[in-house]
Amino acid sequence: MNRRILLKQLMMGLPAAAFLPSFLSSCAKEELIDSFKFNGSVIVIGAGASGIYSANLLRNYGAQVIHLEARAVIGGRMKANTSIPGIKIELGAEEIHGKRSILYDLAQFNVPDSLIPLPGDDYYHLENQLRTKNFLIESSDLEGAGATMFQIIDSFASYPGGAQSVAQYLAEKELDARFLEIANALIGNEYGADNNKIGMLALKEAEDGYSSGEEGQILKDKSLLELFEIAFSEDINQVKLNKPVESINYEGAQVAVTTENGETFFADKVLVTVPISILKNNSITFVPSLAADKLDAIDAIKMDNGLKIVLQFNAPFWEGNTGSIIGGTKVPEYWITGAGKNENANLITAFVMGEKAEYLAGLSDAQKITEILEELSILYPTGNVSGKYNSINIVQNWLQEAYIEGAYSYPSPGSEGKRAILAAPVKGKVYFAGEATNFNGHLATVHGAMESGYRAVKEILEA
Amino acid sequence: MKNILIITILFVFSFSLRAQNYLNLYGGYGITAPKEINKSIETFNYSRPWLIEKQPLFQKTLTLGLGYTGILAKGLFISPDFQYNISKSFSENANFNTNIEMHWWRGNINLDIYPLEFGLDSVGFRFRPFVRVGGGASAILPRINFNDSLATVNDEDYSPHFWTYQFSGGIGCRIYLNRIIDIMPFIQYNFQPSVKVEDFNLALHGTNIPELSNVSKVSNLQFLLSVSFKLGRARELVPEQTETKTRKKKKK
Repeated sequence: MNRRILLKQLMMGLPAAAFLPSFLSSCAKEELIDSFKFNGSVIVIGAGASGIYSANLLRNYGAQVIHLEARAVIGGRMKANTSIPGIKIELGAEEIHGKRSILYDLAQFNVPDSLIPLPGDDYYHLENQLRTKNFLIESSDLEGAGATMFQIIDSFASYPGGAQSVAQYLAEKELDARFLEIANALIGNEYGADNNKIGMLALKEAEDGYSSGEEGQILKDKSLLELFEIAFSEDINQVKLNKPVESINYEGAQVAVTTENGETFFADKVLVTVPISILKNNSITFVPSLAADKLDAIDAIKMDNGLKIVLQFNAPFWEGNTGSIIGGTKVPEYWITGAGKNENANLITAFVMGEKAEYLAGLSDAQKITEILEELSILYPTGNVSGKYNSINIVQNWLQEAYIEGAYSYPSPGSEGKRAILAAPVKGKVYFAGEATNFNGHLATVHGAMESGYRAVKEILEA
Repeated sequence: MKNILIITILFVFSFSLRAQNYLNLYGGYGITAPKEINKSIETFNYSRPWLIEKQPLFQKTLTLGLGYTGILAKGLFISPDFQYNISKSFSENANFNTNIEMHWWRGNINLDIYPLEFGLDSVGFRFRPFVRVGGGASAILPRINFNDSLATVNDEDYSPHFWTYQFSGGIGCRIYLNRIIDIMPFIQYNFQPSVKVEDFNLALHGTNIPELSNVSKVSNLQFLLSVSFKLGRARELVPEQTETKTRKKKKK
């Protein structure tokens, strides 16, 4: 064979070599998740973040969905107030925690121009004065106590000890008493309770799994509920409102879901996305009863009250760069509601959970406002706080919200490992989602609720 | 990796003084199937149904390589080589572009066996089929970009690198073109039994998904074409037929 023949043959062979990989690739199996064979019917109970998103996923994968919501509105713990012009005030979930989450991606896709980093600096309430984080860490007067507190908080994921509350652990670590309220705001209040109600082992589990990032994001001109309405409008239109579920009977071939007004819906499976409080107070009867380990998990995972009280002022009395004020004795955390949204709104949100929320909830609205103004006046003695208050306020008490009855689940002592048990399907018919069932560290968040939704839907589709 | 580099340099040094040494430049593409990584991408698509353009699975790899071939014995060559591979998965959606790239740097030491040439003077063949076996180490650099920004894990940019090892095998044919250049089409199969890409799922999904693993078995079938330059005494190593013709002319 001479060179010319060789080159000819090579030229003939080249197209084959070029197309062979494509051909072989096309023969490869396109879908690795090939076990989504379910095309039956599912009743989704609850139209909060988890329920809406789950219904959307189920429909996308061919299931017939009956979507029931107990309340007259959708959204669950996503709720916004629009009574003050120029700003949408979040009364429930507010922050998108971190930049790597399904919720962040949803916002990025649907409302990218609205997504902004949480603005402002944090100030800490220490001995009736507002201090920066740097001051707490570096001030020689504090002898390193502030730095110690932040170190303790940053190391929860590697907590080596046994069962005890955060309050007990901080005592064991001899945290300076001046920092207890700040620590309570940063840990207990943040997680939806108080330091004496948060279990170290459950907290370790949550902190260890948390991965979406600390860079908070907010929507500057939309509410989280609006984001869902934009993204899942077709699913939201199909929600059957005012259908509080009374019982779930999964004895037969089909699941029968009966509402308080006597309607019964049948489907192959049911996905329960109601808040843990609704499972705890036995508002829904399961027939047959749930297994003992499931009931134990429901009992172990706690949910306390939560208040958001928004006050409007005629003019700001705070520094222009203020984001949050942390560590109050009456209100563990305040934030400037309009920061990044509408700087002229002059709104402050008081964010109170746990025992402090119970205390404030027991007062009249006027008394609540008085208590808050008193505390703010101490922090801003020259700010004429009461004088600038323009008597406009919004009080959101989540314990009083029907079919929600609390803020969000928290890492209560003994709840470690229980969220996975709560999340586990029952007899291939009853499935659970919602923030309380998130066992990846994203409990008590909207993105955690969504993650639990796709976990549960995947279980349904693969069944 | 350091050891592999030292061994490679030693081989190049010791064999460059001998006949039938080649410098190989090659390229091509192939099929890569990182199963767990593709499963993670599928889960990404599943959990984000609003994405109109789905994230494609990893399937193809582009390869560029540089190697050296030196004779060990008649019909037996050693071919250390170093190759760069890139696999890409890109989706473009309004406001949300996702680009996942896997960069693979592979160092291999291969044994090329020319089964038809044992005991023969191999320079007399224009077509020299060979079988290759080898193994080595790889560095894997996964990169995930959302809207041109690196993905983060706990607010830290996700730009890690991981080491693994592989076994390789293949068949090819060295074809004599002239005294300086051979070309060498070959098919190589690389198998990496355990590719651990830590936190890949966290970076892609933003959460740990229990059923997804960060450890993949990776198979890679490459279709490559090498251009080989003879080194050292190469100009003297003309094919037998050519030499014979020359001798005949001299007799006249």
